[in-house]
Amino acid sequence: MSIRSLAIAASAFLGLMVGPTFAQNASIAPQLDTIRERGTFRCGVYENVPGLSALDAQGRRVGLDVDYCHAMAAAILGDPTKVEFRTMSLAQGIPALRSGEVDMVALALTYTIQRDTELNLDFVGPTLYSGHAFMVHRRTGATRLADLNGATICVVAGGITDSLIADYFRARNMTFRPLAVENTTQMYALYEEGRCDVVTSEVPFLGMRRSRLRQPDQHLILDEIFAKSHMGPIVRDDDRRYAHVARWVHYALVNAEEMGITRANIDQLVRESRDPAIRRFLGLEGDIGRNMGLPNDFTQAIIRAVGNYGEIFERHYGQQSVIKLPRGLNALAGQGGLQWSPTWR
Amino acid sequence: MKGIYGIPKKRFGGGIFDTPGNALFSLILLALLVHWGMGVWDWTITRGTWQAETAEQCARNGGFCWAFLRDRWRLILFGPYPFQEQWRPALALVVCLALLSASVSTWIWGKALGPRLLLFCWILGVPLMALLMIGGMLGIPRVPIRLWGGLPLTVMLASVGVSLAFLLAIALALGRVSKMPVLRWMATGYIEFFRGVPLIALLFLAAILFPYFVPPGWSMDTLLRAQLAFALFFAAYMAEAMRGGLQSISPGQYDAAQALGLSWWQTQRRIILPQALRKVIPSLVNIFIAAFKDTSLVVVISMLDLLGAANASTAEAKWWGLYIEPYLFIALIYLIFCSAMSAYSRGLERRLGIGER
Repeated sequence: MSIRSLAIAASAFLGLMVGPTFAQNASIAPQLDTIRERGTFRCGVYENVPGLSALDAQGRRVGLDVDYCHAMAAAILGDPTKVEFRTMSLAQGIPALRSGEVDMVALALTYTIQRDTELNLDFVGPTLYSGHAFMVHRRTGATRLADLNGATICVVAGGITDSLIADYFRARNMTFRPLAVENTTQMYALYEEGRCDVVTSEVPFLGMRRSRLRQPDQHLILDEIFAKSHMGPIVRDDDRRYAHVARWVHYALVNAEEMGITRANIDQLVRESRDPAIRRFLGLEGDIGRNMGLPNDFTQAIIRAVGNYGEIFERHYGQQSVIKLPRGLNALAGQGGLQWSPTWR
Repeated sequence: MKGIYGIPKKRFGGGIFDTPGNALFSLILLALLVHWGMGVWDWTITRGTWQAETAEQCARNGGFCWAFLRDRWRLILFGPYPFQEQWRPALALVVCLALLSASVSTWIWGKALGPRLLLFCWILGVPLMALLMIGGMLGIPRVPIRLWGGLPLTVMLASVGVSLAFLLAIALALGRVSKMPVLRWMATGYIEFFRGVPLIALLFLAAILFPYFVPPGWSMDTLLRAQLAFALFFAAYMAEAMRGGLQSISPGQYDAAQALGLSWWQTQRRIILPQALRKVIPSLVNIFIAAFKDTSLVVVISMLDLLGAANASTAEAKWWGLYIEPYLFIALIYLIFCSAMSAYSRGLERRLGIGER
């Protein structure tokens, strides 16, 4: 697999090198026109990450990030199937976006100040809130984070997790030995063999992986959450009009849930609703969509394609998935979560 | 034939039970095999899981997760190719394998009309395969190339790549031993360049940098570019193997051909190449097998070949965490293809009597 990482590093390097030339070309034409002329929406997604982007048994790409790509295609092109997926790694994502190779990168990137202000990216969402936790071998005797001093921790190279752990440990005058691995498969394999004492990952994934180890009761997931993550797709910020579209596609998904509009009842609401707020949101009155450079009923296309935010979440992370993650922070603001939409008027 | 101790060698049993030492060694090996076989039986059958919704149930039993393979075998074999249309790559694969095995059959080449019939079949077969894979005609829906994947992609990359490379390699090898300096330098330069650059770097050149070298508006599919990169790369290796064959032909053969009044082309076609190529069959097959396995490097251009599809098959939360099952499954497929190739080469060597002259 070291060849693969070399490849990824090389492509990231090449991407950075050739990035600026492309970016200049791409900023000439408005992004929305470019996409319409091309007829497809190009979306960068992970190749294999459960819940975000993976192939199902029939070879279709499914996941939360994938649904955001479909939603964008529905909004801009009126057809959710007109998406060209480009699979990429975390390291390849930003160069690919800057070079204009993709219109959006949906790699569940954590919203950081550097990415926003230095790299000139616009974040959509956050579309997913989560946090990191540690899983340890019970034989280590650790029950709290404070017990992990001097432990060997497996971390996936290239992410921000290792620097988060480093910060966390340094702040508490603790040390750890990182063991860099290529991917999560390798990480859990090494952990199970005992090559490292600790693994860290997003909470729902840790639980899922523990249940699939040979002896789940020999492993403990520590209660403390040590890093918050708030992730979402990114777009370039050099075309404001297009960046607005990306952001408001997310708000449309959340707003639809707030208004109780689902894939199942949208047709009925379009026909029968007398609520002016709903009619405005669905483009039956006013001209929200037209002012954005989109069809006035773009929200209808989005919801018919992927449902509202809650439906997307339940499909890929919640009760309809095998992950069975509670909504938690991803619930609507009125229900104890952090998802909310600005007012549609 | 006699064994080393002068004891007549039998078809079976020779060297197995003929001396006490050999017998003991054989028994130990046999016991190990039985032990290992029982372990495999226990792991795959006794503790194997046939019915499961998620990888969790398989982990409880601790054995081979058959339920996973039942659910995902089509994804591994065909990648993201549209599910309803997967009969098309399957059929194309069968046509391709049939054509390939016919093309290397000495029996068909020996028949009077054989070569012509083969040519005819290829002329018919290639458009048929293209129609099946691409579609867009005769009521068959179009499938974009980026959705190709799995075994058909692997076989296509390998067979087209190796065929193109073979033709190019003959030209290169002849150029490499040519008496004309410019030709020789060009061939040498080509071979040194392509042997000196890693295949993965070439694939990157093809996928990412190629667009910068051609005039704007002139585009070429990424897969086609990768395919060409494969062919160019393996041509260099094959050319070197062939050069070895060419150099082993004694100069007397050239002189004799000249004395008979054969032209240079006739000499190469009738005298030199048949002998030279025959001598290098083992190393050519070696390169074929390497090429077949190296097709897995196309993951760097986001194409899901057999290995890529196997990686993708456990990505959904349902089967997340499994890795032995998909890898064993594709290892078996690779093994079948590679051992078929080496069995063919052994048969060919036997028939052509390599090592006996």
